[in-house]
Amino acid sequence: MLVLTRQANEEIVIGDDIRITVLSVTGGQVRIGISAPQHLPVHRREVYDAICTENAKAANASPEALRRVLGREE
Amino acid sequence: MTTCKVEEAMGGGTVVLETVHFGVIDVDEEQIITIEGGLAPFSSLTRYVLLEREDEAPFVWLQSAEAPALTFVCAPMWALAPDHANRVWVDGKLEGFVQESTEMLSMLTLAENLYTVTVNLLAPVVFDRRKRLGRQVILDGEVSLCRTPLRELLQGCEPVGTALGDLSPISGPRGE
Repeated sequence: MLVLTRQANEEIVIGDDIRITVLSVTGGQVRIGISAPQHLPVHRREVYDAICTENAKAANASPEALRRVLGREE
Repeated sequence: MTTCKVEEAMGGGTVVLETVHFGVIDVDEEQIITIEGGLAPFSSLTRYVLLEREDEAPFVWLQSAEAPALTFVCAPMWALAPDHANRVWVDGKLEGFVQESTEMLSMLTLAENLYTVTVNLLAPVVFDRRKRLGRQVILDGEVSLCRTPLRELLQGCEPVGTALGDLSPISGPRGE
């Protein structure tokens, strides 16, 4: 992993069109601004992980499972 | 993951999709929606069709046009959680989508019965049918919103079967 040291208001550029700005550092928290093309989703890691897990679980759906849930099993 | 066999059918504009759960289906090419970024962790699969089947309303299927086995059961967020949907709408959290033509689907995680099913209210799939473009948008809110128990949303709706039958159409705020 590339490790860089930055101060508030300094930036990191990834490729041509992704910019990461350190907005402020207060206490134990860092505020980060990210500008990226719209087709690149940007998420907090724990949220992204939760969505991945949920999508993967949701992908097990089937018409049979829906019928069972709705109590329409034959 | 195997690739869906897509054949150009005679007459143009129609594609034949082989699916695991719905058999072989003919789909108008214009019905294929591109979901930008896919649905993580299936990020490389971006082409989906919406299948609305008889007797299953308000539930619809988001079927991959590329992976025969990949399908998600969804319901319009307006139907399941109108207050939540309205808040999203009003807050304009749709990341550049034109609201008037945007539909919002919440994905469901099926379980043993209706009361243990969960609904993903944190990350609806929003799409514009006319542009055939969509995205899974992650809204602000608690992570647990992605596992909202369906029973919480159905509270006060008795009996459940009737309540589901009365749910509102796929898009648009109620009363508009």
